Amino acid sequence: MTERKKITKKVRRSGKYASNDARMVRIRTESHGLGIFKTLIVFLAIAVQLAFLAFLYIRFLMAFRWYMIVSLALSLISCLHVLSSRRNGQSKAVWILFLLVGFTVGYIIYYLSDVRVFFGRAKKRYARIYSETEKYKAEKSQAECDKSTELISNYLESAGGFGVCDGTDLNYFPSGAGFFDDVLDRIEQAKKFVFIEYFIIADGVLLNRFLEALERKAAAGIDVRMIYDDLGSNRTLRRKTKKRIVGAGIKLTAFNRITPRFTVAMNFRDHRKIVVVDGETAYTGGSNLADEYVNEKRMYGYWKDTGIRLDGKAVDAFTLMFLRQWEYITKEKQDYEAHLRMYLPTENRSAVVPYADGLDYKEPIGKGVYETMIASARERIWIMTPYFVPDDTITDMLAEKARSGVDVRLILPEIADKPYVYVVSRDNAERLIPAGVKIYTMDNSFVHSKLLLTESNVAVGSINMDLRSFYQQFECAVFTNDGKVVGQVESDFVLTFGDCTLLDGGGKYKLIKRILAGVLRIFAPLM
Amino acid sequence: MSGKKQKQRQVRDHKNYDYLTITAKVEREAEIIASYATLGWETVSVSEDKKFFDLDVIEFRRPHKIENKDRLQLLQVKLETLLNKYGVLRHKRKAKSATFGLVGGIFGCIALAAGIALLVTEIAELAAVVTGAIAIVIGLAMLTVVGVFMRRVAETEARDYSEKMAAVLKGIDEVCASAKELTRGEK
Repeated sequence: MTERKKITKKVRRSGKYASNDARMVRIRTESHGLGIFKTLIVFLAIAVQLAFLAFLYIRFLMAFRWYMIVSLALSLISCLHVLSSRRNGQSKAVWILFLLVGFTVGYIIYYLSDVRVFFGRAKKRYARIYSETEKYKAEKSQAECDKSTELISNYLESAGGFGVCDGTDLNYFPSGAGFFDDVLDRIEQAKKFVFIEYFIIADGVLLNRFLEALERKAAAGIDVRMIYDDLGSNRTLRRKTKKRIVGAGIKLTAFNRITPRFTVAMNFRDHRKIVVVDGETAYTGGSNLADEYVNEKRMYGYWKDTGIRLDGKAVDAFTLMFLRQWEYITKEKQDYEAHLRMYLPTENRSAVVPYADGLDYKEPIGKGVYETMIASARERIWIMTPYFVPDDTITDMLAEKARSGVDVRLILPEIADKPYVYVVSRDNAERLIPAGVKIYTMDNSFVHSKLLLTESNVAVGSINMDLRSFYQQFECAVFTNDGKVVGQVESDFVLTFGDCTLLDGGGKYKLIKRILAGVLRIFAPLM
Repeated sequence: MSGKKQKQRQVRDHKNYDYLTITAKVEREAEIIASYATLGWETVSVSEDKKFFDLDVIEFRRPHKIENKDRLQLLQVKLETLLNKYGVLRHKRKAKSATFGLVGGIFGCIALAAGIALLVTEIAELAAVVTGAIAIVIGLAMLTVVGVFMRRVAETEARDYSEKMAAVLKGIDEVCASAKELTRGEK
């Protein structure tokens, strides 16, 4: 009997149908659809509030027509305020457009979006915590620095108070799978405390592995704490799992809880990825605690991610970052001394500077580090980032460096997780091609790594090369001139170039994409 | 046995193994299983899909810690992309000639039917007779053209797609060969 006849017989017996999908293989990925209901409720509540406000406002406008002239005047004054502000150029342009087009409400929304309005009290709380814990910062080290390392270290010291550390061994991981295996092995050896902070903590195989280990540690009396971002983990972490975590004696807290109340502060998220074990070992990188980051769940092709491990003096910086954030969220005074100075210093004399970024700092430090590294590079600037939506400073600097003979390369994903951001990222990147910048897309992959490598320095962490990471999110990273790590990152780049396609700036629908990117660019500060 | 009970029986050892569940086209199942085997995946179970008769559900597992895991994961994505590309090409293989035949045939038949209808119903009217005759001629001509050229279009299309499919199959072989080299040390 032919295959077709066998199948026909099978159909008659089973009552099943032929699948319309031409694909030979489909990966079965579990999708819980978690949190959709909660998200809908929140959006609905906010929509109702905004609709009510809009209704009242329109009634007011109709009753007092002279107010239109007043609101136009106020919007024009706001435009002047925008121009004189310290915002980046792109953000200024978007705000001015918004203020003039929507002059009846523009100035209200502009002032309500001011960090001092919705985040003023939070900033004061952070400032208090930082001033009280200033004394716990590491003492200055005599790390070996060349001129460029010294330049960037000086910037980090003056902009954020991040001191250079020596006495730290580092190891780089070119994938999420290898990274988390190492983290788990280290957690198994924990004796005092385990601190975990992630933007996304997601139910799945990876989290189960972690929880099995953490539950054992918590049962043994070890201090285990987890921070997750409430928006980032909203649809990925079930209430049942949270109960399991808390029930096991692990302290769990959410950063910036989602509330059904209109507030711009909802935009500010904790994008950090930190693991600290015993004050001796710290990890950071691009990976979140979810299955797709270790390629055990298929979402956007192969998921390319990276991470770094620190053992030694620099670990204290991450312990401090975590405890400050914990104190901010829980409003409970922390015993910093009990968790610091527990590292075992190593003989390594390389410069290591862990640094953080966020609304708790005056400067956009992540952006500043990237700019300073680009400015000081003489031979190469290699970048891996999932999104390329920086402001004009960075794109202009990259173009100028490429024109002056520096080897500038940028690796983006081929597969997008957010199509609207991807259109703008690709457009921004392709505009650099005429200047000599080499733009690559990693085939069949989503690149989630956040890496910048020059000839002698590297920055690895959670900071995307986009405006959200620069201005609206809490981030962390490590800057170092450690030769071993620079070599490891270089090897990773070289291997990855082999899996990439070099773009030539051509392609179909070029004009349509440019127009679309131009429109989407208006929302770039929100991307 | 219910699905839940089955799951309880097949307890997964996530500490020591990674698991992968796919749905695959039945007609290529053996090749697909062999391809995944080159990536280090061993077959745990094969069962029929609940909805579609031409799909099977295959569960694999692989030791959690294996050498060259990153490269194998990337090769797996490449393999899946190529397998699905092959499936899509196979599906579209006769699309052009079928569309040509269908569209041409339908219009030809419509013209023919319209011409016959006009002749039969309006036989007294000269204009209608002439129009009907012309429509019949056009209809017959279209059907003849479709008949003559459809075969040619089908042959050209088959050649083009065969070349593309052969290239994809070659790509699959290369991926499997690379994977075999990486997993060789594990055996």
